[in-house]
Amino acid sequence: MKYNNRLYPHPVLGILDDVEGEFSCTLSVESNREFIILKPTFNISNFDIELLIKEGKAIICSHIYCRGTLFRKNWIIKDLVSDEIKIISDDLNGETEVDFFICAGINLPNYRNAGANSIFNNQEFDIEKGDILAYGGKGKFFANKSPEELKAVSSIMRIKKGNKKNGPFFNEYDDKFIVVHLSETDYESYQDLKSNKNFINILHTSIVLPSLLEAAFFIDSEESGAEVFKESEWYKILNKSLVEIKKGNSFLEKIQYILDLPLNREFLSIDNLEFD
Amino acid sequence: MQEIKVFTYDYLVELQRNIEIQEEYSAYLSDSFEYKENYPKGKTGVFISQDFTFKMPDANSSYDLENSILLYENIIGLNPTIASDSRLWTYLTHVRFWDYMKKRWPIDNLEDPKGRIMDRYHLKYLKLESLTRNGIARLWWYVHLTVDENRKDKYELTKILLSRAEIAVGLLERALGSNRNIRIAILEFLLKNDTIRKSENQTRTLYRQMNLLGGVKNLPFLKPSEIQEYLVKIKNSILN
Repeated sequence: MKYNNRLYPHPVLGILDDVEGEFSCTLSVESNREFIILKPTFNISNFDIELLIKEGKAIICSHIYCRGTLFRKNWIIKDLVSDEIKIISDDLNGETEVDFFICAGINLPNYRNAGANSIFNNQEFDIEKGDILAYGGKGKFFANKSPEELKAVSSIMRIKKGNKKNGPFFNEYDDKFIVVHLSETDYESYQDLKSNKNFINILHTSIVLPSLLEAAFFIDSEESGAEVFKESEWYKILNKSLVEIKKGNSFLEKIQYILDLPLNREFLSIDNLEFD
Repeated sequence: MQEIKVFTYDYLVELQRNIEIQEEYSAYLSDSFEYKENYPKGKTGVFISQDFTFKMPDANSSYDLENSILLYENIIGLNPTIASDSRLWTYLTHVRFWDYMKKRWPIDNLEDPKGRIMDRYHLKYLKLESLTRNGIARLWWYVHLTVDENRKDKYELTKILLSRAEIAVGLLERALGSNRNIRIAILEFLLKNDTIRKSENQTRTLYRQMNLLGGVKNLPFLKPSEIQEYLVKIKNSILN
């Protein structure tokens, strides 16, 4: 659900330049077998809204929505810095959205915000309980996949035996995975080598890096037809990683950071092999 | 009790490709679906009695309500995470409940059966619409989303949901229906308001108005009784 593309009948902080100030949130997500724990920290700067919160007339909420399990729930945040949201792991599966709001906790018949854009003409608004006064943006995470799992790339990639005896490997995409097809001969070698941990890093550089790079270009190209995979788990995870990774200018660099510098790890592995 | 198996993801992709790319539908016309025994390692922990059967749809009724309750009461070990696993529902539609599926969602007389096969026999993407369209998943989810242990008849709201197809489709295919407070408030309202419940147009208007309200208001933040107050306001605008 999108909250920032709507026209609200009253000024909303965080929507266009309706109101001066800021309402933002940084979110960290932890999980264990039983629970998914969200730890948001908020930043608010708008005098009138801060006052309403202090007086208990406005409330900070996190709204969690997982379309995989039809889970949609609202959490009231009482402590701006240290509140946690604890969700039973079984209630979520896959992509989960978290939106942050400040809502009216009671009816506010004469609401006026001094920081409101002049277009609102210093007008008073009849605000009802639940009306959105500020929108702090959206966060996303993938439930039941740990950051390690996501980083491992194995969560979105499968390496399979292709139909040809020999030849180059290639990518195929389905709804869940990037499927890398190796030739029969290469696949057999891959099976032999992957059980030896010294070779994992080498395989990362020679198979995973180019395949992931191709997938990055695939989703970036308007003509590739990648649009049809937009709902796929691999697409969302890779796209999110590419957007979120702050290091690297090109796809080649970004993918290397996502894979935790595979070439460097490969060289270390080769050193170890020589040493062994 | 019999542990329910699940297909592997790879096999799901193969089955879906047969439909979407190869456009090969003949397997869906057979009396039994020929499948590969491609199961992942491990156990699902989901069980159903070996004797369990659905009430077969006939010319009088689809028996969706009866079958929803039957399934919900007889399937053991399901939670929302497992119940959103496409591998489970694809196995059930193609193997365990093939006879029921053939009767409830036949493709024999369809000119282009691709849509129905993908919608009803498969579960391609994890989203509201898919879960409430897959021929078997929908039955479980209908009850899971509406069962209320605090009622004398805990399936009272399930009955309202399934009293007309548009009520379930309209409510569960909108994000509105994914919040329990809103869902329960709307169904309770429809329970008390026959006129709106029986009118397709009025129910649709009710959903639309609630959707609009949800655009400016954080509805899940409100208590069910407060949501009811808004529903009464909408009712007055619909009926006047």
